[in-house]
Amino acid sequence: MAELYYLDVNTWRYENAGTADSLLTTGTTLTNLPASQSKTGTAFYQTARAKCFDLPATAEVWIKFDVYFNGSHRWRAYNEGSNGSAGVCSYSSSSAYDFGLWSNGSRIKDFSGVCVRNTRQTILLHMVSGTSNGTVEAWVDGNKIYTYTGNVNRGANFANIYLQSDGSGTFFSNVIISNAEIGLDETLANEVAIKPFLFASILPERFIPASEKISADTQRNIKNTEKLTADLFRKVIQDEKISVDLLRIVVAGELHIETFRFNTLRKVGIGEKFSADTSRTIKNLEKTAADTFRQVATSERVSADVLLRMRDCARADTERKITRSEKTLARTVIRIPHIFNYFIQPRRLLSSKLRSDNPNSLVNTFKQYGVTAINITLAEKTLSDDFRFNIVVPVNIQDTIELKLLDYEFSWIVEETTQRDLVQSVRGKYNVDDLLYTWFTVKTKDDDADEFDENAEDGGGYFTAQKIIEEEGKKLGFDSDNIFVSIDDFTPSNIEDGSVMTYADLLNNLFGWTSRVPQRQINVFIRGKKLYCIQRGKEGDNSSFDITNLPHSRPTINRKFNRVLCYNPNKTDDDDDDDDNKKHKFSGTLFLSSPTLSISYTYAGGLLVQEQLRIQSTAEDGKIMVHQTSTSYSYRTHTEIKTSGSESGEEKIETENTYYLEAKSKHTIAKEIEGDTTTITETTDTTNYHYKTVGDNELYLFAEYEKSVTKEYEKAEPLDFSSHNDDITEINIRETHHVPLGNGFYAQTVFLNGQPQGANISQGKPGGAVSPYTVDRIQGIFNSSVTIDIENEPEEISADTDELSLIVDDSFPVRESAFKDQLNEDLRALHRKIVETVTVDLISKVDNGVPEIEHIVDFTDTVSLDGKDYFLVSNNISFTPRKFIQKLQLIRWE
Amino acid sequence: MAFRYINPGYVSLLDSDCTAIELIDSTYSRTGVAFRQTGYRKGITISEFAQGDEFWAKFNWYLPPEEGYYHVYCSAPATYRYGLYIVLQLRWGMYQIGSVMAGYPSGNTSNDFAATLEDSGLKLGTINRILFHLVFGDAATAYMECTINNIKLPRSTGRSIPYNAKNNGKVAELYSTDGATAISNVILSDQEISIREDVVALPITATDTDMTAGENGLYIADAANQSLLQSVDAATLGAIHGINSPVTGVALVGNPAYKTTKGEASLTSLSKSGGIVTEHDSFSLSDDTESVIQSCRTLSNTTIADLQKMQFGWKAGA
Repeated sequence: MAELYYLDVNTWRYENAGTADSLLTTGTTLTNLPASQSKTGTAFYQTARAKCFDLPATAEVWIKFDVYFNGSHRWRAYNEGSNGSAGVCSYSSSSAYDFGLWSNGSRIKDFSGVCVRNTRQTILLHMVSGTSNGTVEAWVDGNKIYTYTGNVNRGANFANIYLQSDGSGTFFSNVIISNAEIGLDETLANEVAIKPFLFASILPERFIPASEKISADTQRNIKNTEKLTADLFRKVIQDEKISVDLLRIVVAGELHIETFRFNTLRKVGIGEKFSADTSRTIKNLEKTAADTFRQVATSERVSADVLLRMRDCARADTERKITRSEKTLARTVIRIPHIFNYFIQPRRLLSSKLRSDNPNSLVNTFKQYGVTAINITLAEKTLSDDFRFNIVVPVNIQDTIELKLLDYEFSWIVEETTQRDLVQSVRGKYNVDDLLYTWFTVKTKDDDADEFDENAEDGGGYFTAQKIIEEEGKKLGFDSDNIFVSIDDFTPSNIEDGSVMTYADLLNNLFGWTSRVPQRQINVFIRGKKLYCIQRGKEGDNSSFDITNLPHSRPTINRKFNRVLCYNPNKTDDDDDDDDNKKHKFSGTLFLSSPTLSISYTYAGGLLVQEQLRIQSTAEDGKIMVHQTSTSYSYRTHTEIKTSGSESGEEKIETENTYYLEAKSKHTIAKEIEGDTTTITETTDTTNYHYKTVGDNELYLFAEYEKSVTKEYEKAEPLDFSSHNDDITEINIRETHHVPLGNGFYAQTVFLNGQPQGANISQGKPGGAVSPYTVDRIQGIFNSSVTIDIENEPEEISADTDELSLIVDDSFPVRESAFKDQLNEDLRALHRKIVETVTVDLISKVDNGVPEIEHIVDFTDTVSLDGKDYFLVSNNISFTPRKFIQKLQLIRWE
Repeated sequence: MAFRYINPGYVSLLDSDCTAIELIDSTYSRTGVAFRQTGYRKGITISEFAQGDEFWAKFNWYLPPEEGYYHVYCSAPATYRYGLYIVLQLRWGMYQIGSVMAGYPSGNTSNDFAATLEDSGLKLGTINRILFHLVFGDAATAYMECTINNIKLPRSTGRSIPYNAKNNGKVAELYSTDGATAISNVILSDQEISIREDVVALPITATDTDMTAGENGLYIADAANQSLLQSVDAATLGAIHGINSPVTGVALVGNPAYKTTKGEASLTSLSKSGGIVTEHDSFSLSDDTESVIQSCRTLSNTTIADLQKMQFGWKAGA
């Protein structure tokens, strides 16, 4: 844009930022020029040496302009006319000069070093016409170059002013021409350049970032006396994702129906189910903070995507704060037990009349839970005592049942229930989660001891069995008040310090072997919350319970000659009167022993319950390899309970038992002794077998869980027990599932540590019942050759042979040598003795809920019958509202 | 005097002495442009800031998806580094989101706000909205508070926050680490800002001007009182954000804006509403062809629909 304007009547000013539009000659406008070429970004050039500006003729003129000179295209700022050129110009690079002043067509003076090539320069030219006192003066970039005074344009007005260049390489911009003075600093009036942008900060009506998905998994419990009619049950299924709810408009007093746009249909209905991860209870006391402040006034109408109908007008401003930090991390399950109190009030408190009328009497529990039968089996050498209830008020799996039955307390977890009509059969166990599934590291070394000697004749600084039980029991909540130990204490050698095992494993390892010396067998059991470890013969001073004068059935007395090489101390077979009485389920231990090899198998009721193996070998390079394995098996009884009414009206419980392997626990220690260094690999495998009922009365194996913990560590001499506990190298969990497919086919899927390992299909039901090992009853004893001392096998074995000298069982896992000798002595003491087992039922009437016998025979007792003392083998307790039967198995040696 | 500074994410709208790079990537910013400023004690000079003002800052902070060491710092003007300091030092699994006492940020920090990433509301691999509010005063009255995304963190109180203009002038500091973080969508004000506020570019439907339209959107005024007024495409904007969305502020930016001459030259921001043209801030221009001017104004009771009737622009100075 270029324009000529008058500052007053006589003073005019022409400005041109650099456009050729208004020139009188034909010129070219250049745009988008860098500031180094034109401050305005535009420029022009024209090549005609003729008047190009339409200006008034004037006697004095000031011309100011920017020129970009490329050095070859000369430029001229002249007034041209009949008097010749007047003004300033540049010369090309071939000239010795680059800048010159002219007047009347003649050079006034030339300069060099003024015009700089390829540069934008500002030129100011001032001319006054006159014959003798005219002026031509020039400034370049603010520096005065020259002032000439003399004849300029011969006194004529300047009427043909132009800016000219020889070509496009030299161009003009920022041109100001005036008949008044132009200052050196003067510029085009207010020429500015701007590239405008507009931004705004807005508050979008409803802000839902596109990247955020709404998925609400919240169950809201609003506890308030005011009921909400809507918004109470909200179900947001994942399929119904709310991506954008663009327009939610709440305008006071105005309903913008036309602007609604729903992307989502949200159904809010009453009666829909919650699908919630989170259950939130909002109490009035909770303080909340929210970024939304909502005030609902009575007069305001809400138009929203949720229609809230408020019957009671909400005037409260609710602030809600949701933090994710409110997490509960709990490893504790608190169980509220069912309590069956079933004991006799002390006599001194109540008269016998009162006792029978006492509303708190035994009958109460029967009534309350509708107990029709209780059946408990107390078995030796096992932690898996079994109990069964028939009740009418149902309980759930994993419920805790606390039973105080006469003088004993029991605490059980419900494992299995069977409902038939009104009656529920409940089967339970100890809390096996603690006993069988809680793994911990066993400590067998006393940190305070100075040194440890594995081969010492005494304990060698290791913990004794009692100490271990008490220490480790704490980890399961058995404090010392809740552990009752009555044993000849010893120091076990079959548990390495830092072994990882469960408490059941631990007890099994500590005491399982004692069944080999049955008269001092250690029984472990839990009553209530108390753990008992009681050795036969150490029941206590007042433990003898005389049943001679109590009502009992005719005892079945079985006497047998016993040889210690293969002894058969008891028989647990209940079915003495069965048809199949030729076979006898074997109970006892088969063992064989030598300095390098020791094997023992322990059976109970024909079932293998314990297996111990120790092999020692010496390699050629002097390495000693010791391999010790201790495996224990436990079985579940599958029982069909038949309850039938007999003629006399009494209820009769009949059971039929088959056995299934339920758990296998194998503890292996492999030692490699080379010089002073012992490398130990320790493996504990625990496999649990889970069964499902198929058909009426058969079980099939549906899942196996095998957990294997392997540790490997070195033990240097002297012992460095800094911390090899951390060296658990591997834990593997293998799960095998068997799924019936029909037609006798079963699918088998194996998972290792949660990863599928493969699957196959097989025919035939997995996991059959165990068939017990039976022996000929008549024979009674076995071929003794299975137990002879291999190293010193005598040529002939007879009753007269001094076999006793052969029996040196070194496999007892005991450190004290004196104790080992004692054990061997006790073992030999049984040799050629008579084993007497007695089966007898204590039968007690229950009169109005009060049984005649108020004691349960347990392993804390010895039993006296007809003047003979017996140890308890098992007690099967049946308790009905009418009858209380204890089926005892007793044993003694004479 | 109420002020409002709005920056979608342009480096050129920061103080010229900042060490900042501009990131043109919609990953980093919803406006498509973001910056990373790594100059300590640099940011935005707010000349209007005065004693007694509260300070509100809202910005978006992009965090890369990888765990790493990131921090952002935002302080009020004239506080000498009292402000919001968020550091994610995931190598230790620890986070500091707190206020800052005087000094270098890694020094006297205090975890006033939150300790864990989860509690803080920050999310990796996305653009986080951060709102910061500071009130000057003595230990009884001063406080700082911060909202990240939808989590409002506990207020930090009990500490004197003096207004001390001599220390760091009126520069609101705003910087983040070299890591692949980015700041965008910045709004600073002495009046309350909602965390939901967004900076958007206003699309233009028409430009009324007697200036010369140059290339690339550049306009040249070569005479005083030449002016330029632009109309906003409110319909397009309304379709995206809701036609009734409140407009809380507007920023008129000249990028670049400069004079081509040696004399005094200026530009004055204009707004036109209801046929009345109002002049606002006047900027004296330099001849640096890369200089930027910005005139921000707080609007109230204005919606996007209202923008339809308004025009914004510039007038060349007399």
